[in-house]
Amino acid sequence: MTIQLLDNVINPEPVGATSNKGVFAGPEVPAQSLAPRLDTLEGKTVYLIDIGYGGSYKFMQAIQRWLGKNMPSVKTVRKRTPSTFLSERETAFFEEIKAGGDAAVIGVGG
Amino acid sequence: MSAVAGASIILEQKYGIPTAPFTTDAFIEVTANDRKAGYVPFLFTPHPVIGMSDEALDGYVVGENPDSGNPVIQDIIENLTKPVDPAKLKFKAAMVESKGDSGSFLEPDTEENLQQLFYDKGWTDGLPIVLPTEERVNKMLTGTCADPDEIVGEMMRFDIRGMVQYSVQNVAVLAVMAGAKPEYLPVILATAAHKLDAIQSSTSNWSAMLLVNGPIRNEIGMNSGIGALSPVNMANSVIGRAWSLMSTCWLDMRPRRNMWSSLGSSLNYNNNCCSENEEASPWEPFHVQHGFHKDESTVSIFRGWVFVNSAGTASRRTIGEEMCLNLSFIPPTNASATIVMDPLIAKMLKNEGGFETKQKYSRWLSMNIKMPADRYWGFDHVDWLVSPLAIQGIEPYATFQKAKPDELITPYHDPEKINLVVVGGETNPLWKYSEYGYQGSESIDKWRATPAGVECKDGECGLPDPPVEYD
Repeated sequence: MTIQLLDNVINPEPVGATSNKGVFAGPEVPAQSLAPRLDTLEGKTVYLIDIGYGGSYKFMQAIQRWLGKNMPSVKTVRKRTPSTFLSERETAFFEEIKAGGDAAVIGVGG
Repeated sequence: MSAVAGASIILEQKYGIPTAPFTTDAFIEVTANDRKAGYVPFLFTPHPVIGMSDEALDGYVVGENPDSGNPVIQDIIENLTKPVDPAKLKFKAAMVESKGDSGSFLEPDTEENLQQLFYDKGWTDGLPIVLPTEERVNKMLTGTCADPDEIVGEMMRFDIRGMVQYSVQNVAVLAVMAGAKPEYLPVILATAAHKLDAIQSSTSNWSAMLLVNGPIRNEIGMNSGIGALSPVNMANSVIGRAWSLMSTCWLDMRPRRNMWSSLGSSLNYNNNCCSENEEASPWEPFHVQHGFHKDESTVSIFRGWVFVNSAGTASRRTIGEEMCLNLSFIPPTNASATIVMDPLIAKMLKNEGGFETKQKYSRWLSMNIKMPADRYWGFDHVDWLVSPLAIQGIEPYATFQKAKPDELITPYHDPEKINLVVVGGETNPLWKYSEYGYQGSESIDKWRATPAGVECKDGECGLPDPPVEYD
């Protein structure tokens, strides 16, 4: 038996939606604003930044092993982030990388 | 992924450090929709990283980036030494800025076609719903004094990195779909007013609990006794279901859109919705502990990862020893625990254990639930979420981190975060234990058909229909 609804049915979607608002909102970052790239990694210091998520430290160890074996002039420093979501207020962490490092690898996000 | 993107932006923009941010190939699509991640040159490893051997991860480094097809190490070197091609940045999500029409109607059709439409649109939890016709929604709205257009709150929708806003009518529509009666609506509105989603866009398996206290429990026939957490009671079942439908319908909780939980959780069908057995409990009700009057009705929200049954009761050990043993294998990330116990347990603890209040027992648990330091720090999400607190020198985590591997620590160190709830029908002295955190309580009374302090003319506002009598 087919039942025919004679009344209108209301769409259950919410009244409004606004993107890029709330805790995950972020700025638009044009590519031009990325840092200048290095000419080479040879002789440079690369910070390997472990965010603490899902075995990240082991992945950073693997990169460190590869660079140590194949590009021994590259100095690596493994570093754990001091908070789960880094903010600009954590200047000591960023200043250390700026003072001692030329580039960074950071991850592994999930 | 957002944490990596945010840090990369700071390193690139503010400190001028070229950066290679990483996530795994499970999140290529998410990266493209993220306003932070989409603007930095993300690289990808195969998924997962966690649990892989050193040899496997060495293979990841020289193996293929699943996104670019290049060796991962080649992409790292190029990312840091060659200009980034803007075309390779992934951001593609459109801005959403809409003011929807909460009265938008679907044309009348057959029941079967409309049920299929709701399923196809992602507007169900997979179970059939009650179709929200105008007539049913209008009847539902008689359960509250609130204006249908009043904005109740907003929740975050992950894929647009934005917020959705919902009205009283939006809530009433979902209440109809869940199968609610008008007298349940104030509880559902209070839940919505707390602005927390029942189902989260996390790869982990979150779940939640709704606890109702106060007179409305009995007015609407909620079950706090035998089988309170079983699928036997309409109010418990549909109020909890309505909360999940908020995620389903408003936050587009479909796999690979906003649903990323690897295994998911069947607890989300009704979110452990129940009411406290205030009549059988020897202790003060949960809402009174949190500053509400006993005659005020409230809904309280709890969330976490782990929710476990006691397999049996405490026969060869004390209740306290048994519960400490249970929780010594569950790592809390912020010292939170929630124990839902049968009234028999509560009475034993009070009468034989000497715990005159919930607070006294919470304090005892906080000092006696212990686990070896290496077990605690070895849990992945403790390492991820709690280690930063220890690094910052925040106690007791800094001391916990200095402990020897086999030294016993007290991870449930804060009695204020150990929640005790009395539920059950006294057929067996059992309990359920979890690391759920208490997220807060909302007053239900302001959402009633006749709010507190307003006189009801016929004395029937907000009350359930009287039982039907048959010949």
